[in-house]
Amino acid sequence: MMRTLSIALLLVGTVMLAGCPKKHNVNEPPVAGTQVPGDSSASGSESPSTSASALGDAAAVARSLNAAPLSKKIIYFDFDKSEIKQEYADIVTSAARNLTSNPSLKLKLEGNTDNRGTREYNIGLGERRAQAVRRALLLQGVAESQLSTTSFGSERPAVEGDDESAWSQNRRVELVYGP
Amino acid sequence: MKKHCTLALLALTLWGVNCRAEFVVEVTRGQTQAIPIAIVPFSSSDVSAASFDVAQMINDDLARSGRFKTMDVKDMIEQPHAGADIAFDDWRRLNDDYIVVGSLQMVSADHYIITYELYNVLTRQRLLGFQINANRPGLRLASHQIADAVFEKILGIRGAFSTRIAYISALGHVPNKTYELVIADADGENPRVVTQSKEPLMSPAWSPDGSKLAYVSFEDRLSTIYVQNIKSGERQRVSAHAGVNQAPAWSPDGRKLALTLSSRDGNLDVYILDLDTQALTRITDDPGIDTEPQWSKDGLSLYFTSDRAGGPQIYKIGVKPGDKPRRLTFQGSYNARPRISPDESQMSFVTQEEGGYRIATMDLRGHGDVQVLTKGPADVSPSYAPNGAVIIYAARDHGRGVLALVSADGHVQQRLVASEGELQEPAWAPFPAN
Amino acid sequence: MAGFLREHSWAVVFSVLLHGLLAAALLYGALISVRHTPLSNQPLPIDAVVVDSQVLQAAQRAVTDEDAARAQAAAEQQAAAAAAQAETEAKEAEQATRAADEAARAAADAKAQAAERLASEEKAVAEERAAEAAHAADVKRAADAKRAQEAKREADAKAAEDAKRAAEARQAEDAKRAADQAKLEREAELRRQMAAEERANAVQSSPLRDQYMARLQSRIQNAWIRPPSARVGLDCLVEVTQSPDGEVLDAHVTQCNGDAATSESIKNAAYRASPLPTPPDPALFARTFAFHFHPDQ
Repeated sequence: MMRTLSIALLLVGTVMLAGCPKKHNVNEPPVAGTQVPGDSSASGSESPSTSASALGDAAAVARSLNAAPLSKKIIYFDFDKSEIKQEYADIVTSAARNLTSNPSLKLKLEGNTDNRGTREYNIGLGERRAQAVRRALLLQGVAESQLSTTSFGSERPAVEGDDESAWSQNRRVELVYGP
Repeated sequence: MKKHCTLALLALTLWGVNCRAEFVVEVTRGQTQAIPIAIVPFSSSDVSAASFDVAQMINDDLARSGRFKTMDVKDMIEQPHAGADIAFDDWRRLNDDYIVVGSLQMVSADHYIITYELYNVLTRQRLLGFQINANRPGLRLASHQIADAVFEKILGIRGAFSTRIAYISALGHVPNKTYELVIADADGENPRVVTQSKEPLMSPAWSPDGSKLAYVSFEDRLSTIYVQNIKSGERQRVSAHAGVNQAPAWSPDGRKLALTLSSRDGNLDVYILDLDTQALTRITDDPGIDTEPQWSKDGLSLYFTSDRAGGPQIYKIGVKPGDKPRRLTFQGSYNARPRISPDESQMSFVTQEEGGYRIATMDLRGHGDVQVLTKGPADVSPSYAPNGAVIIYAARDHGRGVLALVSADGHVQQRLVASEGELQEPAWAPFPAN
Repeated sequence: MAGFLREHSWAVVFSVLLHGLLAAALLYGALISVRHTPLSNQPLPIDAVVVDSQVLQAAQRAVTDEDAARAQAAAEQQAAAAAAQAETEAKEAEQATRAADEAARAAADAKAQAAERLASEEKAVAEERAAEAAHAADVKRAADAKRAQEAKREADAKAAEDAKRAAEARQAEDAKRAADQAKLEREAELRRQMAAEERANAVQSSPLRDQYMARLQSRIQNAWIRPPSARVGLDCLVEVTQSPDGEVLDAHVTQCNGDAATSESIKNAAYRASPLPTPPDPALFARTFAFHFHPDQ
C-alpha cells in the first residue's frame, strides 16, 4: 500500500515536473550554457551565454548539466524499440550542443529496459538504445571520443513495479555528463 | 495357433499340456503420482540427539522434489526404528510403498552416528542400510545425503538434495538498493554472502569443479566480469573491456569462459576467453544482439541467443572458426537464455507466449519437441540441478522476486520464498567433485 | 461179589494165604528186630567212618546225576555196610587179639580206602560223566540254540521274502490298477480338456474376455506409478502368479529394457494392484500371466 502510494506520488511529481511530453517546450534554463543550434562553431571556443566561463572546467559543466531536471536527461522508448521518438529530438539536440561546445566534456549514455524478458538480452536492448542516442549525437557533430555507452539492462529500474506505468519509465537512456 | 494346439495335444497326450495362449495384459499408461513413502521419526539416544530431527529433513527434501508423497507423522500408527520392528501389513494397509526407519545416537559432543534403513513395503525387501558418522554441524548435510540415497535407490536418479545454489539478492529500493551474491543449500537454508555491492550484480556461474563463481559486477557503473574463489574469497577481474562485459559461461574443462562483449558500435557478440593465456576468440559477428552463450558437453559448440532474425531465438554454433550457426527455436517470437541439461538431452530456455514469459524445454535428442513448463507471467533464468531432474528459476510473486522449482518434465512445481529481499538469477552448483 | 468169588476162588484163597504168611513174617521180624536194629542206624566213631562221612558229604555235594547219586548211595551203603560189618566183627573179636583188631581195622581202612577210591573214582567218573553230560548238554544247548536261531533266521527270511513277494505282487497289482485308472482318467481328462479348450476358445474371443482384460488393464494402470525414465519405447514384462481370488503371490520382472527405477516401479505395480479382479468366467482364470509394459505416450 505504502509502496503504491509512493510510486503514485513519484509519478505525479514526475508528470508535473516534466509536463505533458507533447507540450514540451524547448526552454533552456539559464544555467545550462548552450549554443544556438545551427551555429557553425567548428572551433567552439566562443559562447554567447554567461556560462561560457565554465568552459574550461568540464567537471563543473558536467555537474551543472547533470543537475538538470530529468526531462533533459532521459530519453524514453517504446517497448522492444530503440528508435528515438520525435518528442525527444530536442534532448538529443541540446546534448549535442553541450558536447560540441565543450570538447572536453564527456557524455555517458546508459541504456535501460523494463523488467520483462531475460536479463542478459535486456543488457543488449539497453545497449542498443544507448547506441541509438550515440548515433544521433554523432550525426549532430559530436566527437566519438566524447561519447561512451553502457547498458544496465533491467538492473537499475527507475521505478519498481510490474505494470505499464513502471515499465514505461524504465525503458530509457540516461545522459550522464562527466569530465 | 489352434491347429498347432491340436497337433501338440495329440503328440503330448500323456503329458496333458495346457496349450492355451499365454495370458498377457497390455499396460500402456501409468500414473504420474507421487510415490507414497513414510519417513518414521528416528529414535534418539538423548536430549541432544533429539534436538535434531533427521527424519523431518529427509521428509522435506523428498516432498519438495514432488516425486514422493510423504506420510504425516500423525498418521503413523506405530514408529519402528529398525527393520525388525516393521509390521509390513500395517503399513500396507496405510497404502504406503516405502518406509525409512533409523536412529540418531550421540557418542560425544562432536560425534553423532545416524543409522538408517530403507524398506520396500510391498516386497518387504531391505533396499538400504547404512551408518553415517557426523559432527553436529554435519548433521544437515548427512540428512540431505540420506535423502539423496533414498531418492536414487527408488527413482534411479542421483539425488541433488546435498548440493548448493547461488543467487542474487537485491535489498532495499531504488535508488538505495544493495545487491548480494549468495550461496545456500539446495533447500535455501544456510545462506552465505559471497560478495555484495551498491551496484547491480548479475549472472553468477559455477565453475565445473564448484570451487569458483564467475559473475558480472557494475561496481564502477561499468560491467565487469570477476571470478571469485568461494573458499578464500579472493577474486580476479577477468574481463573489463570498454563497453559491455556480460554473461560468463565456463567451458566443461573449466579453462575458458564464453562471454559477451560489445564492439565500439555497441554491437554485442559472443567471444571465448582463455583464462590461462588471456587470448580472446570472436565467435559471432553480426549486427544482431548475440549473447547468453552456453557450452555443449563436449566443449566444441556454443548455444546462444541471437536476434539476428528479428526477435531473440536460440542458435548453436561450433567454436571452430568459420562454423555457421544453426537455429534451434522456431516456435514464437521470443526464445532466449538457453541452459543445457547435464547430459545434454534437454535444453531449458525462456519463451514468451500470450504476453507472459515462461520456462520451456526442448528435447535435444529427439525431434526438438518443446514443452512449456510454467505459467509465467515473468518466469526467467532457468538453471538445471546437477541431476537434470529439476530446474530452478526466478519468478515474481505479488511484485516480489522469488525462486521456484519445476521438475524437468513439468509435473512438479514448488516455490522457495526468501525472508527478505528480491531473489533473482539462481544458479545450481554441480555435484561436488570427489 | 459172590460171583466174582466163585469165579476166581482159587486165586482168592491163594492171595489170602500169602498175605497171611507175610503178615506173620512181618510180625515175627518186628519182634526180633526190636532187639537188634538200633545199632545199624548209627555211624561208627572210628576214622574210617569219619572218612566215609567226608566222602559221603563230598558225594552228596556232587552233580545231581542219578548214576552218581546211586553210586554215592551204593558207596555209602557199602561203606556203611562195610563199616557196620567191620564194627561188629571188631566188637566180637575185641576180646581176641589186637592184631585181629588192627587187621580188622586195617581191613576196614583198606576197605574204606578202597571204598573211598572207588567212591572218588566213581565220583570222578560221575563228575566226568556229569561234566561230559553238562558239556554235552551245553553243546546240545548251543547247537539247539544255533539251530533255533538259524531256523528262526530262515523262517524270518522266508517270511520277509514271502512278504516282499507278496508286497511286490500287491504293488504290481496296484500299479497296474493305477495305470489302468490313470489311463482312464487321462483319457477322461483329455476329453475334458478338449471340451474346456473348445469352451475356452469360445470364451477367449468373447466379450467376457475383453471385459476381464480391460479390468486387469485398468487396475494395473492405476497402480503403476510411472517414473519419468519410463518413456515411449519401454518394453518390459512382469510375470505374475495369483491365487484364485486374485491375490498376487509373486511378481517378478522377466525382461525389461528400462532402468532400475522402471523395473522397481513395474514390479511394485503388480503388488499394488493386488487383489486383482476375478474373471467373470472361471475358464478365463490364469494362475500365471504377464503384464506387458509399453507406454504409448
